[in-house]
Amino acid sequence: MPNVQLKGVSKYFGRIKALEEIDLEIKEGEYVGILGPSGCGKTTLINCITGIVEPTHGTILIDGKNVANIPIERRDFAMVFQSIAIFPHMTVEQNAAYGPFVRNVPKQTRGEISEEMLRLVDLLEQKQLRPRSLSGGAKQKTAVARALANQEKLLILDEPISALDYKVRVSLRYELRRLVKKLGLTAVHITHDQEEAMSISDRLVILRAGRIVEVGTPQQLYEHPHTLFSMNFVGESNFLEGMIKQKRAQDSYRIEFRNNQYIDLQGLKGDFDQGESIILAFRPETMNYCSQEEDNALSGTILRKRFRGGYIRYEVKLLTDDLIIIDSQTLLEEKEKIFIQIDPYEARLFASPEFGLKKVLALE
Amino acid sequence: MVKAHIEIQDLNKRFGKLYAIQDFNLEVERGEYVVILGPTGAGKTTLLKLIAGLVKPTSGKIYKNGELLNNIPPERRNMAYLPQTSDYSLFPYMDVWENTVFSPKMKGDKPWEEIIALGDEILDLVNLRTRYNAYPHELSGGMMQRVALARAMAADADIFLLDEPLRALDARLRIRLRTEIRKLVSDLEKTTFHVTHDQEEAIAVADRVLVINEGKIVQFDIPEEIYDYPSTLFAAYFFGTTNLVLATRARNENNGEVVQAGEHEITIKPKDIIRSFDKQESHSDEEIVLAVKAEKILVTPLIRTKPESQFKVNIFEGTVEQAFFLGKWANLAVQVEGLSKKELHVSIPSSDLHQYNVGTKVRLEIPSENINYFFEPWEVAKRLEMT
Amino acid sequence: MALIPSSHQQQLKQFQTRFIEYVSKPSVSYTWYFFIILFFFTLVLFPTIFVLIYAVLEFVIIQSEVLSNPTIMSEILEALMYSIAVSVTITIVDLIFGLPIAWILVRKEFRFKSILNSIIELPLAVPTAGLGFSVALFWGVTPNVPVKPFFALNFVRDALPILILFHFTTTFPYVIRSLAAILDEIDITLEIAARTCGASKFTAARTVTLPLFRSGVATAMVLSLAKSLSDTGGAMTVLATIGSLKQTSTVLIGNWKGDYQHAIAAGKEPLGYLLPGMAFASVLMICIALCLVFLAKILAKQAKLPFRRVFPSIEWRISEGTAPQARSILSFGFLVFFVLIPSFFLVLYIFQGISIEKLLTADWFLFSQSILLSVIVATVATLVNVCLGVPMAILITRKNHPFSRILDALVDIPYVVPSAALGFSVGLFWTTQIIFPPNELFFVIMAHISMTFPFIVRNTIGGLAELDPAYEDAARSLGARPIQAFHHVTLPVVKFSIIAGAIMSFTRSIGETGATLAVSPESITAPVFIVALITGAEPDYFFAALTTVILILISSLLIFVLRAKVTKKGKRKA
Repeated sequence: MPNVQLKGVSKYFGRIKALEEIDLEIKEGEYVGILGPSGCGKTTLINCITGIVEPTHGTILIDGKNVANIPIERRDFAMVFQSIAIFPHMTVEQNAAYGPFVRNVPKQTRGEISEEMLRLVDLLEQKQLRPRSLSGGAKQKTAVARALANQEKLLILDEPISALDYKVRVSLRYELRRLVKKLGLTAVHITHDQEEAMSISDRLVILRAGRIVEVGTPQQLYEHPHTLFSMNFVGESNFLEGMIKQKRAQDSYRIEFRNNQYIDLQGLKGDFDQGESIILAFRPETMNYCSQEEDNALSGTILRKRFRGGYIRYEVKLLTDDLIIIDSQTLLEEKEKIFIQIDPYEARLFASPEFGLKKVLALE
Repeated sequence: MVKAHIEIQDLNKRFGKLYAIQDFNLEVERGEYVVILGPTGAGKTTLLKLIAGLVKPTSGKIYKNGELLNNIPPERRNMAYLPQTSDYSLFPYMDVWENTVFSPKMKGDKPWEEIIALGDEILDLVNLRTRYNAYPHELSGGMMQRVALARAMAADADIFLLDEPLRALDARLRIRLRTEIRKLVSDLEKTTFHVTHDQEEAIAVADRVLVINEGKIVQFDIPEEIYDYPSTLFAAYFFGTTNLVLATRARNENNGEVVQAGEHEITIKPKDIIRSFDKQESHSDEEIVLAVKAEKILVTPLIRTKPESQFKVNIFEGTVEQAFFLGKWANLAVQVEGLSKKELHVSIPSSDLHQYNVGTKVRLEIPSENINYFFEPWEVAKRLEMT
Repeated sequence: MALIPSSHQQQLKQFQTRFIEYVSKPSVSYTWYFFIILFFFTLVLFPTIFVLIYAVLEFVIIQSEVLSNPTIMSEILEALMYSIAVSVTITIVDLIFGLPIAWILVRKEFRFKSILNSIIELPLAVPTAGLGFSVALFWGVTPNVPVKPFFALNFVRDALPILILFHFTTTFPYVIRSLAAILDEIDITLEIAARTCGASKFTAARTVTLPLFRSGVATAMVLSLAKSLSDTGGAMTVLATIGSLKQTSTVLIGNWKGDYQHAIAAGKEPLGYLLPGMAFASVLMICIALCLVFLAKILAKQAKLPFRRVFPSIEWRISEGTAPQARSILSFGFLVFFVLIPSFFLVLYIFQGISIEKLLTADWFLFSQSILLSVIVATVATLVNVCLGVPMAILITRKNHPFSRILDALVDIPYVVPSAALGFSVGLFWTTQIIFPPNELFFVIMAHISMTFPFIVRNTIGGLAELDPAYEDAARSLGARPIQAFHHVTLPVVKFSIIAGAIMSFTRSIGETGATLAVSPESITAPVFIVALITGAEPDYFFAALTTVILILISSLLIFVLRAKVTKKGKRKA
């Protein structure tokens, strides 16, 4: 029963606090993504679980067993590395058979296992090749086969596809999730790529500066994040600074922005007092807009439009002097005036942060 | 006549027997932002180095403002090249200030006071004046990137050559910085070549995209054109999430040409005269590859009774095998019984995702004008899809 | 700067610009590179192997004087066999002990690691002539040494074991250092990946790291072969100290050259067999050295190491619990006992043997002259090598030309050629040529340049290889002329390697006996002086030890100053 529990795990390197008080439970059969900007401590977190470093405080349980002082090779997990790290002097097949080989599994069985794993990752045809003649994607698939051949139930993926080309990355992430689910594994997947994290995980952990910011399903975190940081980090957002001009009911506010612009919104979550500084945040694809004057709308002018593949991105300068982005499939023209209505069920209201918006949203 | 800022004629570069660059011909206007897009090993970096003069061409000519560049050494070409290293090739033993004023100092044609003023101005522009005495290893990835840009701007080069300028950064930061870079160099009216393998990045910033593969130009056009009207199967596949469906030609009908894809028939429509395949000789059973972008397939849950569509063709039923949430979008992998392709990837706005679970039966419709087609052997498509 | 009038400043700047423009001309840089290649071929490489040509041209004399003279032949062959036996044994021993110790040094974190790392380099500063004496004092039975030091083990009687012990002391630090440097470059993630697959530490190192390490093993083998085949001064003093009459081939050449020169100095015709005999021995040594090196490379590439099977239970036992700790302590102790103590044993001897009378009667003039000569030779050779070796390294790494690869292979030859043979060959070359007037000091310096040239080039190549050419590309496109790019971008990074090479070149040159003896026995450099003191009719062991210690101090001072200079600048930035 592979489940992983971290209780109050901290790791200090000298005076640098790489991880602080991490509490996390990963359930059996779960695909957990750990997402954070570089330097957030996600690699240290993985290194603590795998035993490459020992945590300064706290305990880690794998299958309910405290793994403190158990070396890497005695902890039951398999791992895929960002640097790929397949053995350059062995063929694809020998790489895949390495786990059974060091356990002295008889040659016959070894061959069967590696064959099966290579079939899973669709590399059987290339099994006699050496790593240097493989493409980047095939190399990482070999590494996945090598990891799976250990037949452990816990799979740890340390930025497994970050180093690959975009196209390869997209196809491999689907592949990974398919494999993990098919074999019923528990997976911990580290990445700095939001789209990758959201597309593969059942549950997402957002890490920043050594602390957990938020945990939730990808949809929860994208649609209803609890923090400004996640709102910005998990996908692009617009942020408007304003204040509560008037509080009419529990969830009904009149919000004033710069230049005396205001709108009334009903149905917003959160409890704010009159006069409080707030930030209204909404995703670029969530608002309604039209070119006719409308009540209760923020008006602005389209500065620029850009084709983005499946949609068009508009940069809009509001009368509030804010610059926002709108993603839409409808065709509008540059310099056109538009009126934007904010959907209160999609927008989020946050208290204005103490040290300024920029600091809270900083990505590095 | 205004001369093109950069003009490349019959450019070839061979390493041993291998062509890294083959028969390149292109013109780039002053101030244009060109993204060079292609997979690893396509020859992107070699092209930049050829333009920069760091690699000598095997044959062919490169002109700048009509002046032949071939025998001019890199330091005299007035271009700023940013190589692809994780630290943006900032000189590790120099601090931010020394890095920034490196170029005017080396060129030695400005008095020192002027260099100081220039350095200050540029560091202000990239918002790094307060960190002037920091060494590259003390900076974050984004800051290093900005120093590299500052260094290039101080060179007062009129052409920027950026080799994967965002590669070493986090995905989210990349999204923010790509537009920042674009704005910065466009405001300065620099002609820019930006190398990447990320098609999303290319679409987001490019005036024109130069798609290259295996040392050859695949297509050189504005992003919309390449996205909607790819000239080759490679371009079609490389942009967006694209389904490649293998088919054979069957027969002609009034509303288009009908092809056979597995057990299903698909009607495709020539989009305009030039792209029509009337010009091609028609043989049935000829192999053809259809390319359909994921967001151009219309999907509805089957349970809802819907009035019969005006299109009678290209309607399939399928089952959702997997659903991926991507933020703005969600991707459905839909299995269509009897189709030559195992799964079709369909993009939907993520707000509609709640209607689809794994196992949901759906109705797919592919409007025939959304299908691009290529008379290529199936082998080519299969090779493309192999990672 | 402020004191210089601004017009001067401007002039200076103008001159600087003009200089940069001048050297950036393609014709100038081509001429410069051509000169360097010319220098390398005619003055470094050609003299080194000149003896081969001589042997072919003068084959008749060799035939009549050497090949048909059974006594001489047997003397030569015996000495050669001795050399081969010693160096092959040493190579094997070095590898067996070197691999685990290097692995521990690189992969393990322990408290004394940095200390150990610097201690390992210490014996490199000891001139081999003194080192030989020191090792012999520690291990050997020394009938002629009047004062027996305390703690001396005093039990090795025979020449072969003591030679092996001695060469182990001289080669092991080199081997460890080169193994560690190469091991450091093998990605540690591979080992971790192996361990996540369930391999014990030992299994991971054996099945993953070791097979990737072949090139490192080959380098280390070449290193210890070349070094042990080369040594002259050390072998002479070791053998003299234990009173053995055996000779290695280098000792043979050294002795014969001495005889030859004495005869000429005395105005007599030297014995007929001496010159052809030395030439013949040199040719044989060069051939044997090249063969052995070639063999070592093949062996390291082709040898089937035992990684076809795994024995989990045994390997687990070695990897866990107290075993790794025991191993670390054991190798640490091994290093101290076999390398460090024997190297510095003579310091103890000095304290015991010191007396006013000895200090008064010593030949201080010769002493200071020899040391001065050594320092001059080493300094000039090192400076010339830096000036010419660095551009050569650039030529090899940065100019992508088929010729570069040939140069790359040829650079190592002077290094592989045993120094006594090299010295003899260089001496022969310079006495045969007619362009330069004969000057013993000049010949010695040229021999030392040939001998130490590969050190600078190799080290610089290593440094350049680590610096991504992208930095230079960026600098060039930002408007820097090639020489500016080198000065501002490449040099700050590569200078550590250049200095490391210079240190190696200097210490090697200051400690060299064989080459000096073979070129010109008249030039009494410090190591030659030490050898003379020990092997003379009335050996003065105390004074030899004192000279050695002074040499050590000079070398260490230089190392210290250079290192300090480098790290002081580096710390600000690195």
